[in-house]
Amino acid sequence: MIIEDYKKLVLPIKNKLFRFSLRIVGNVAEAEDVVQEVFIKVWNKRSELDTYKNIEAWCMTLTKNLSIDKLRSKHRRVDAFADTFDMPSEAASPYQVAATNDTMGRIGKMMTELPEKQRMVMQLRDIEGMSYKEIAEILSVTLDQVKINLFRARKAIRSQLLNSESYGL
Amino acid sequence: MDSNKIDHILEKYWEGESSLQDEAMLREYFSQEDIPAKYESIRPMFQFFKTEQASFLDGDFDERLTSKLKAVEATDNIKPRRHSLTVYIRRAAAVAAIFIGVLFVFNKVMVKPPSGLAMTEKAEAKLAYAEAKAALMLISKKLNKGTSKAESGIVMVRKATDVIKE
Repeated sequence: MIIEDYKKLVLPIKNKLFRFSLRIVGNVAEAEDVVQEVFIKVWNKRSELDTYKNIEAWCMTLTKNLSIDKLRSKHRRVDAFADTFDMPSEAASPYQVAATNDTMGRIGKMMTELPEKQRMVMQLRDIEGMSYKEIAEILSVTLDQVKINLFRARKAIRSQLLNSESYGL
Repeated sequence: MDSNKIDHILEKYWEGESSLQDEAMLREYFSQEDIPAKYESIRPMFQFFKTEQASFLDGDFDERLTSKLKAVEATDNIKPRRHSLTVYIRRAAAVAAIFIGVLFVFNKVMVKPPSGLAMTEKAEAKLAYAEAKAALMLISKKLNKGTSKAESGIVMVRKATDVIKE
C-alpha cells in the first residue's frame, strides 16, 4: 500500500479520532499527537488491514488507549512536579473562567467532570452518533454497560442544567 | 414538531433508549429559535453536541502526517539490511556457543571418566591386591614350613656328625 492510498482510507476519520482524544486528554496539541500516533501504528500494520472488519472502530480503540496512557503519564508528571513545588491545583486561567461562564463552556466543563467511562460513552453517542454496538466494541464493554453509562451521564448533565436554571445561572 | 412527540422522544433519551434517528431529531429541534420555554434549560446541551461535531484538526495535520509516514517508510527500507547483519552476527555467536559447549562436554568426558567406571576399576584393583596378597601369604607360609624342616634336618645332621666324631 502506498501512502496516498493509505491517507484516503484513514483521513476521513481523523476529526472523529481527534474529538474523541480531545475529550479524554483535554488538550488540542496532545490530541493531535495521539491521532498522528494512531495513524502511524495503523500504517505499521498495513499488511494486516484486511483482517480488521471495522477499521474505524479499531482506530477509535487505539485512540482511547493512547489517550488514556497520555493522560495518566501526564498526571504522573504533574504529581511528581507537585511533590517538589507548591502548585495551585487546577487553577483556572482568566480565559478558562470566561469560557466556563459561557453556556457552551459550562456544558463542556460538566462533561469533562463526568467519570471517564461516562464521558467516553456520551462523546461517542451524542457527538459522534455511533451505535451502542460500536461503542461497546470500542470500549470493550457490554451493551448494558454502554446504556447504563449513557443513562448516568445524561442524568448528571440534566440535573446540573436544571440546578443552574433554579439558581438563575 | 408536536411537543408531545418531543416529550416522548426526550423520555426515551433520558432513559438511554432512544435511537440514533431520535437523537438527530432532537438536535435539529433544539437548534430552532422558537421552542417552548419548558425546554430552555436543556436546549444548550443539544446545541453543544451539534457545535462539538464541528471541531476539526488544523489544516496542516495532513502534511505533517505525510512527512511522518514518509520518514517511517524510509526507516523501514533501511531496516532489513541492518536486520540481516544483526542476524548473521547472532547466528555466528550461536554457532560459537554450541561449539564451545560441545568442546567443554567432550573434554569433561575424556579427561575424567564417569564416577561409576572409576569405582569399578578401584574395586578391581582392590580385588587384585587381595588376591596377590593371599598368594604371597601362601608362598610365605609354604616357605616357612620348609625352613623348619630344613632346620630339623640340620639338627639331625649335626647330631649324626657328633656321633661319628665320638
